[in-house]
Amino acid sequence: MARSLYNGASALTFDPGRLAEESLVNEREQKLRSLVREHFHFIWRLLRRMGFAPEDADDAAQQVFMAATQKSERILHGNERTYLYGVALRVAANLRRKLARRRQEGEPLPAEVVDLAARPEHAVNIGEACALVDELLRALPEELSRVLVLAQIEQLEVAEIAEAEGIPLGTAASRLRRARALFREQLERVQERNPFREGQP
Amino acid sequence: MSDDPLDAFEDALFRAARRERTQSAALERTAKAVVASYRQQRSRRAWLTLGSAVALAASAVLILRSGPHPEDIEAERLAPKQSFSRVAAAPAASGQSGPTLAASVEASDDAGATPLRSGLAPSVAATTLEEERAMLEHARSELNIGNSTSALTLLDQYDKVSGGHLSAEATLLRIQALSASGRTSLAAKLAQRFVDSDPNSPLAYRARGYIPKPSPREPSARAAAEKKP
Repeated sequence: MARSLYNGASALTFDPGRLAEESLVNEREQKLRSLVREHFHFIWRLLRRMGFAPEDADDAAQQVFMAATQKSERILHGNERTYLYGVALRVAANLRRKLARRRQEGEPLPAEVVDLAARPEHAVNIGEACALVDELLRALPEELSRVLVLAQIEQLEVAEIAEAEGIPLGTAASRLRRARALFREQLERVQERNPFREGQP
Repeated sequence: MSDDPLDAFEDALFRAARRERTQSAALERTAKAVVASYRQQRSRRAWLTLGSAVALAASAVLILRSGPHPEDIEAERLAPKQSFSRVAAAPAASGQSGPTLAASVEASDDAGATPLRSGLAPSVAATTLEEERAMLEHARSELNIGNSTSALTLLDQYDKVSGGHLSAEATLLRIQALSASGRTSLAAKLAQRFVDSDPNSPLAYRARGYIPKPSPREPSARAAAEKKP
């Protein structure tokens, strides 16, 4: 039988089965690369909006994809974003615990809150706007903040949000309504700090 | 589009948040790490398959090598009722609550029956010294790579089939595996029992390391118990 139990052992034999397997492996690796390229920014932004500093979000996003690869056969075609979102929530929860421990141990943490008042008004940039969004999101209950991010930033439909969060459609819709209302209240409170007065980013 | 400045402010904030990207090469790094992890998984799986095949082949060789001698085949042909069923029945006959399979074979030997060789299945009969050594080596290698749970499982399997050639070594290994798995008090108890059973053995010297030394201020409960009349 030309086929060997271990691929490396049959390098000198022509084995159509092995060639097919290799092409399957290449295809699989290609799919994994595309998975990262397609969804990395989505996951990274989610982690950022959950309040993590950029470098922590980098690491956590990597963890999300590593964990997803371990069980990549569970990712169904078309379901990738929902699956990754679920993994991201778990990774975020672990990272929060880790950061809380670090905080207790007195280790300095990267600054997450930008003091907008201390910045000149014309220094409008994406970072500043994001810091303001994060500040406003922090004032919302976590489950509302998450649906708002998925709807307003990631532009998911209510049905997609319901699927990602694992909640009924009606619950997703009502959470989104409450989240928008609360966010609006917060926005009114800080409208004098609008960094876009002199132009859009 | 609404003329409300608050609407515009909100839109602008969300648009900005949508445009945020990592400034580092995290994406490429992640893509590389993910592919590397997948390759590692595949390689692990391949080695596992290879390992299982080798183990299977080794078992087959063991079975063939320890197969019944021509005289035994002849004996079994002459006495066909003295077969595997006798081994299974032996524990019940000897009234033992939880005997090992090796013990059941010994029990049947005591009854004067024809000795049953390991040709039926290697795990049924008492193991040879070499087999036991191999089993303990396997458990030790698992322990060395940090798989204490797996080492303990292998030691349980050893206890089930062993002929007791290396029982002292197995006990010491179990003490080490228990200690490595964090069950230190159990390890200490077993070590104490081991040392008590044979205080002069060289292995007992090593087992002593797993018994916590009593604090100089507080005499150990054991010492206190010994003082009691």
